[in-house]
Amino acid sequence: MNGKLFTQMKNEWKSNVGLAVELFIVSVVLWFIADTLYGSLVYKVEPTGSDIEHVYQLKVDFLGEDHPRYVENSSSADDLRELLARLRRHPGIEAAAVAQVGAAPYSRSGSWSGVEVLVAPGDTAVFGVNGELSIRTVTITPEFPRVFRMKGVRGETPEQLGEIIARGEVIAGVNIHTSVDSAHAGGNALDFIGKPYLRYNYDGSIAHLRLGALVEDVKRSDYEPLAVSGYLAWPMQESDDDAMDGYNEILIRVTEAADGREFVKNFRENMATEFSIGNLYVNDLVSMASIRGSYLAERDKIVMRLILVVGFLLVNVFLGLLGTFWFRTRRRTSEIAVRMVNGATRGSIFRRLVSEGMILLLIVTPLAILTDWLIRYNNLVISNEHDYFSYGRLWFCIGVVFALMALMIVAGTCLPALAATKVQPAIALHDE
Amino acid sequence: MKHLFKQVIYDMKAQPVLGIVSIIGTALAIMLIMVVVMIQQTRIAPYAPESNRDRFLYTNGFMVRSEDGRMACSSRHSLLALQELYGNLETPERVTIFDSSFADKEVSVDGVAPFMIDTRTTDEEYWRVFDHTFVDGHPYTAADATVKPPVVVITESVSRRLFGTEKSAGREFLCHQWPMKVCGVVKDVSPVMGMSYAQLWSPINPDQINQDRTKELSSRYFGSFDAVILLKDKNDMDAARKEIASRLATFDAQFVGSGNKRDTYGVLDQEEFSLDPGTNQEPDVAGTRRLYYAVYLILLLVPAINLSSMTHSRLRRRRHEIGVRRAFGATRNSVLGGILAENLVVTFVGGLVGLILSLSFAYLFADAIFDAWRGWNTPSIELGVSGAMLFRWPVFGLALLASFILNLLSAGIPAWRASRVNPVEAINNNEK
Repeated sequence: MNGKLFTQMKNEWKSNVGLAVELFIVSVVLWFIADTLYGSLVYKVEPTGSDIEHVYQLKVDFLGEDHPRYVENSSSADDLRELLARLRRHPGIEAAAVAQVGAAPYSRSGSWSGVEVLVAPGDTAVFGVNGELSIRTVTITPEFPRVFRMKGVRGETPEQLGEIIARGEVIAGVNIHTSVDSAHAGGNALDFIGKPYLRYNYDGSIAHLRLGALVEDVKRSDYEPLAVSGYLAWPMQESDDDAMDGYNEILIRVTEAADGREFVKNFRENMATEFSIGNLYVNDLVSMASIRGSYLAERDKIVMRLILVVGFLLVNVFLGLLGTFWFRTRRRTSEIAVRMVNGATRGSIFRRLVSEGMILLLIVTPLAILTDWLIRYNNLVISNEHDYFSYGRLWFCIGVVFALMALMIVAGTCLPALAATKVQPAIALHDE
Repeated sequence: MKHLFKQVIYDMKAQPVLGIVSIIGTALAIMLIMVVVMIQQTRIAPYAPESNRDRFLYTNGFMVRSEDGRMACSSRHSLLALQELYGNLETPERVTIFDSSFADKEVSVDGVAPFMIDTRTTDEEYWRVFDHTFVDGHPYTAADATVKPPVVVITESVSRRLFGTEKSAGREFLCHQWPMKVCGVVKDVSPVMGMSYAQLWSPINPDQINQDRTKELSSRYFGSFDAVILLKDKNDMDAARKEIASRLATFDAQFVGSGNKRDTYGVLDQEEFSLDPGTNQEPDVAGTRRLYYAVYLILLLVPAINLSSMTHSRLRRRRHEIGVRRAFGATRNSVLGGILAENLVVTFVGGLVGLILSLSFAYLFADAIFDAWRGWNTPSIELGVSGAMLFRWPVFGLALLASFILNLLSAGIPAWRASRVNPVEAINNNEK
């Protein structure tokens, strides 16, 4: 029977070639999209290194000189310390930290710099190849690890990480050693703990600080790959005079029990009186969850558009098969009737028609896989969602695409095939 | 002509499944292409209040790099930087300076609960470069910058929320406890409009430029401002770029010997700007165009293959009729033309359905499809993409063109083959 099926397909080769070309194009495009989505998904499920639940960002501002309530000779550093003290006394607030804008995740701001570590006297390892600006550096006060519940790779608690920052030591993401220059590549990241870091400041001076701990990498956003982030947190103390300049923000963690609409409402109602100190005042508080939402919205839109294209292509496959097979079964009514007269069951007629489409897909798939692999091999990809190639990933995406296409083929041939099984041999063969 | 429509209707009735599948296939393809075109259009086509997009040049970010490559800092400009780089240029008609991002501020009046809105500071030229529609009052002028209480322009919807009316010029309200006075009310602007969007505009404090002058060389040019340059004629792009380049040369001279150098990409036209390059990147216009062409090609090709195989099937049923026509003296070209014209009718019907679908889809799901310009800071406000922004004659023309191409791609080969039919064989119904 299979031999006959192939002969029959060969006889219909003209419309089959059209279908095969379509299946091929759709298969490759779908694979490309699947690979992109896979990349997004992989990054999205990777740990972000920070817990943003129950965390709020405070928008802080200063009264200008021409404001009626402007206080002459007030010290912003003192005002900040008083604000932090009041925040910590406020019911429900567990921790409050000051950080450079961009230290918290889901921020568009950020600073990157090349840093060096003194591995041995006279031997420096350069982070960020050739001093290119590649390590994300942030400045934080000791309570920052508590606000975001950061974890040390040697089991340090957020409180212990806070003590390290308070001692004036640096904290780095565990993947930082992947960007070490080639001479030191492959070394164990833990070996760098206790070594002095050199930072080149913008004014040309050099800061020497010890690496106190390695933490799980802190990503900027869910869709960002871990390895490219690189993370280095420099210490800042609440007593520093410049701790509250225009480039810093305040972040608070609220206890799980206290957090909720009531907390936000209460905070907003009282902030004008409770959190207005000297010329410093709290403007608003925004939950990290909502900051995350608007940051990811753009990316989510891209994912949605891709899914829309996937839907479109699948509907096309469905329509193409529906149209072609509808016509085909109409033309083959008498042939189908002859088969039935010769003892073919309705089930076998149905299976035979559906398997025509499946065979086309099976013929096209190896070609599509070859093309997918060539695209991969020649790196014809556009975004970092396509980083980290593995054969597992290739096969997984191919498998998903194959399953989706097979589903559409069955759906598209189903209707015409069902109609074909309703053929009444006596009527169809009336003329013969 | 009448004959043509009769033929199409008869054909549809004879093979309803194929006809409907053809129309749905065409409609879906046109719809998706149109949605992609619309997304592109909102980014680059002129709409009020950015009606002069084809004559705009935008400033890109400002970057200073240390000569040893160890440090780099990029940001938007200070007023001083914009003044020195773009002040009093000869080629352009006007230059406006404004805050490149928004500040969320809380506004209130007695009896109305405070709410957050997006605010932006601008110079007076802003109201001449962008064409906002004033429903009440007038824009502020440079002289208004020091008036007490400060005067501002607000949108219709903010005016309604605060005062219950659009006519609120002259009335006062509180913005972060500051008294402010409305001088003008404009129609709402969609946040899709990058630079003309805000909900409240206030004049820039001109004294900031003097503060900039007191800062060190390494930091005096960084700020949060950007400029839009309005050219007299869209053909002046090169002349304006030349003039700006000569300005830059003078500007850069002051960095000589400081260990730092300026490093920016100059100015961007609308298309380059729409790609929203970072402050330290060059926009890849050619690459993005290629990507769009590839998307259009796939969106056209896949349905074209589908429709082609369906047209082929339809024509096979009509071999007999075509044979008779040929026997009665119809030339090959007239048969070919007739088939293409019939198919064009089907495609146009599909195209029209697709266009209507795409407009309703884009209108209903605007928030999911279109991007607010750099979505950050924007409180959850609707995108307010208006019907006028979606339906534009060029878009309709493109829909027609896309249908036409789809028609040629899908009907060309089957029609050509049908026109080659040997009348004798066709009438004898000898299928080949």
